[in-house]
Amino acid sequence: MINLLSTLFTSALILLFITAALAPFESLGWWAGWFGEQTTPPVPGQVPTAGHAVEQSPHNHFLVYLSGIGAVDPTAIPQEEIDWGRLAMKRIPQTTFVPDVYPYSVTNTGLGAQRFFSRMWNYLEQRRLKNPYDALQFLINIRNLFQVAISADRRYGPIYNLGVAKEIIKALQLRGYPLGSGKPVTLVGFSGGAQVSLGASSFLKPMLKAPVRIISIGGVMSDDVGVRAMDKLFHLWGNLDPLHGLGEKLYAGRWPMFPNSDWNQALAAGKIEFVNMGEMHHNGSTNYFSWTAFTPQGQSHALATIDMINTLLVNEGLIDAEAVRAAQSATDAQARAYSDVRVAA
Amino acid sequence: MFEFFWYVWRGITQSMALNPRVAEVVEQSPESGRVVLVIAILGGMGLLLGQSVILFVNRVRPARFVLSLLLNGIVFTISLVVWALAIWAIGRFVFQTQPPLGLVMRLVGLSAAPYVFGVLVLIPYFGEFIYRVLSVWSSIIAVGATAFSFAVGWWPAFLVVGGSWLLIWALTNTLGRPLLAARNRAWQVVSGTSMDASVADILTQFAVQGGEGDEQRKP
Repeated sequence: MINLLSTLFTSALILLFITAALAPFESLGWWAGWFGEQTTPPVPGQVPTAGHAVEQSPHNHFLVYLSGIGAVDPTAIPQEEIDWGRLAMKRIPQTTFVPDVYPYSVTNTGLGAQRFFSRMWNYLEQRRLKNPYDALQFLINIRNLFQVAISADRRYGPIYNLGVAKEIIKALQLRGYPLGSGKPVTLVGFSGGAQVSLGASSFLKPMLKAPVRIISIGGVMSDDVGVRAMDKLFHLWGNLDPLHGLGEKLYAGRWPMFPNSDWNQALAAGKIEFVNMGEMHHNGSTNYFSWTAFTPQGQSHALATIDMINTLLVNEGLIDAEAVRAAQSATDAQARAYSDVRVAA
Repeated sequence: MFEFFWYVWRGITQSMALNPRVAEVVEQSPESGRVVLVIAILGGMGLLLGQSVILFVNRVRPARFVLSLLLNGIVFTISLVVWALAIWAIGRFVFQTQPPLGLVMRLVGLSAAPYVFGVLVLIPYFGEFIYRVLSVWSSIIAVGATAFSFAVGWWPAFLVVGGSWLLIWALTNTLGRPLLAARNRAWQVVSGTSMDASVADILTQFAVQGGEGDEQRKP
């Protein structure tokens, strides 16, 4: 029995190593043109275009949401993020939402549309739809975790982050963002999505020629060179979140002993701000998106996170405080209903 | 055939385990040269596979990618032969023992064994650390091979290996320049590109297009 367990463990470890070693091939192959994707790498000096005309958005502010590592494609993300996003779109005013980017693919191709393992990913997604806490979804997390590590790795990061930046620009245009308008863009990234936001900002800033801000929700971020390009990074973190601090432990450029690193320089310049969210976890029923866990003031975690984003956007002069108050009044009842239904369940 | 690759696998794993029995087998069996040759070529291929981002950045086509790996296997094997020659020459000068050159070559060739796992260098985040581990591991095998060849302790062997690195460095920067030029030319022919592009160029080309980020980068 011990021999069998030992063999299984060794096999799993070898499989994990092989999967990790092969993980960069997707983005590297895209860059080299190996897989014949329709989405080709961008050309220096040219801003990627969506291909067809779209009516311009009336808003002056655009918010791109990059989901956590549980996502299978832009729409197949954990239910908690979907519910949170639905209310956020109503409660954050004067803003066009762009939830269409899958941050774990350089071509914005969801796992279900991939050639080799699509059946496996679709099967896992079906299981998750039946049971949001299905144990096998850790395979999705591991796959996407490797992509986050690729984004943060300086050997691969520039290729990966350029690919995602290209897809963000295309998605912005499809939501009515006029290229060259200089309209500010805020990237909201949860967990690994924050790292991808940071990496992509290196390319978004010069291509859009617009202010680029990042709001990290419990983000695990490296000392990515993107901190040079972006205008402001707000890192929302919960006291009970053990994962958000991984970045500052794993990446030497975030250690205080290297004051000249990109991260520490940006920190000293006031470009990075840490925002404490109280007793919130990274995962589970008391995370940043929870409708059933409440702050001492009686607000659900989900609502507190949305309202914190509102506060930051108001402080940055991107939306009006008056409009926020109006949006909050208009959605308070719906937010309560969200919580009531889930608490009752 | 299977038996041969079994010997190759045993040669790789036992060399990495620093099993002295491997050196004894290599000494007693000149036929082991073929096994060592395959290990050296596989090591060179693994080494480049782990650092293949440079091939992807230069948009090397799949067939040429495989040819490039093979070429690196051959180039790496030649570099091991040169290294063995340097160790043999210095060792003969420093020590009393005069081992056959073929034996030193076969034993030094075993130092390629850790690089067979060079593909692991591709692993994001940990890859560069893994590369350093493999390099140190390879050096330890080379020192062990030198100690066995000249029947000396680890420290004298370490000094000889260090001396051989210095000798090769000096030769590379003087007499070896035409050879390096020929190697680079071979690279260009096999890969089908000039191999000029680097990952840093992607940042330069796309991340500094005259946007506001440029201003922030100025001191």
